Amino acid sequence: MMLGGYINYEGARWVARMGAAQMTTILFLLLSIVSFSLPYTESVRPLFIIIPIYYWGIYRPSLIPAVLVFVLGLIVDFISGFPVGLHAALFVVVHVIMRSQRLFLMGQPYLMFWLGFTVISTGVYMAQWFFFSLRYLSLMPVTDILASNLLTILMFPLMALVLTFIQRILPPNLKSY
Amino acid sequence: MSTDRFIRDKFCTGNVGNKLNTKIRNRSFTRALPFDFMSGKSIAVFLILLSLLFLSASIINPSFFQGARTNVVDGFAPILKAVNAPFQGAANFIGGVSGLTNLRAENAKLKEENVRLREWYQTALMLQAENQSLQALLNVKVSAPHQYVTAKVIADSGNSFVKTVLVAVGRADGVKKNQPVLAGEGLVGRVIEVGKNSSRIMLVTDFNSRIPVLLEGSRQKAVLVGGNHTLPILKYIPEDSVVTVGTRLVTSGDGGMFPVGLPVGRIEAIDGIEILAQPFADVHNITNVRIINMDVNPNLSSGNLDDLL
Repeated sequence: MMLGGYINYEGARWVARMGAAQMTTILFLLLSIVSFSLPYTESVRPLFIIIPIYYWGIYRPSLIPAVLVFVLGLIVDFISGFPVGLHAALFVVVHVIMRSQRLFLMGQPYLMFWLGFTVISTGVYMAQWFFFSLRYLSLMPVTDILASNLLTILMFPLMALVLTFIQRILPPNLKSY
Repeated sequence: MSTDRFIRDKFCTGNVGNKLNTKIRNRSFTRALPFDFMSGKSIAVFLILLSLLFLSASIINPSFFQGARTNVVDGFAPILKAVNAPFQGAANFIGGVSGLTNLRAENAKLKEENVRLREWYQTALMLQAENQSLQALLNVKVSAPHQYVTAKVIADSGNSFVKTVLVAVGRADGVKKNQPVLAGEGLVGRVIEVGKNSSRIMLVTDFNSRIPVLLEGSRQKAVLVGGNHTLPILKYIPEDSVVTVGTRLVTSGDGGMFPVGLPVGRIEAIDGIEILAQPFADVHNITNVRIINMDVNPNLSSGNLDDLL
């Protein structure tokens, strides 16, 4: 009886902590698509959702499987008015890159970790720019995406701090993970 | 029992033991227990191909995912509305605080403007009376004033490639596709997608936006073309026409999508052969919009023409 209660308590804690991690990802998604009601944020705004894809991709890939990344990309496409599949493809590519580079990035100092994110974020924005320039056969303006990319990179340490806190309260994964 | 062992026992029933541990240890990357089947390399490749398929479909036929899109947006609308509320509150607060610091200067400016407007008010009253008497003489049929649906902006694209915003009104509030949308002092775009409780508005600065306009004074017709830049461009003006900076632009009504005479903007600069226009509405800071609740020509909606043929 007592053991059963203990297991349920442990189970509830496990669900609550994993739930907190997933809720953070959803919050980052909402911050990427909601209107900030502030001047110029309709064209210059960080793409917050790349942060958990990158962070969990390194430290806890179990939290951000490919299917979830794909769905997050589709939601961004649907809500923000992008052609459907653009962000889904970009996010899954980022996910694949993270899977191959996570062991390398895990052992690096913080600056390298941040630089890795800079490369990923710049890659996503550049891919967007290439796609739209090709689609409209016209060079798209770059000022706004440079500013958005810079904001995303600068916001990363702060947002990563939130994810570090979540990571600390997460239940431990299997030893080898 | 440690949490670690608890998870192992709970999710690896039948596989607990050294054999599994060795197998797991030998793996080169992390896998989630509950989501294990969703993260394989083949799944990732499949998802990338699926995304590219979706992308091709939405490029070939932009309305292909319209139904799914409106359903997703409708589903997210209440959440986006709730998340947007604190931002809107913060924006109002910041606006209030910055307004306080400029109070003295603003007061002086408003007093000056008030004097000027009082003179215009007298002129307007005189013109209105004259207009009414002339209309009565000629038996002119005056069109009814527009009805509006006011809505809050709950989401925007947040980038420079797609210039659209989502508002928290839809079919249930009488919004229809292609209705014109105003914000502040002028036209800001038109409705391009309508869900039950949400709608998407394409802004005048979007790459796909084309608005037939009229240059006030010369009555010269032109088309205001968005290019994803801050200022839309005025196109299809005859070379010999005289265009001056500051000329007001209003909708011409050509094509039947917009009513005649809606204020759009003014000519901001003439850069070589490019004529740049500044919209009257502050396109970079739209928090509320007014949708003109008018009947739209059904033949202008995509797909309807095929039904008629």
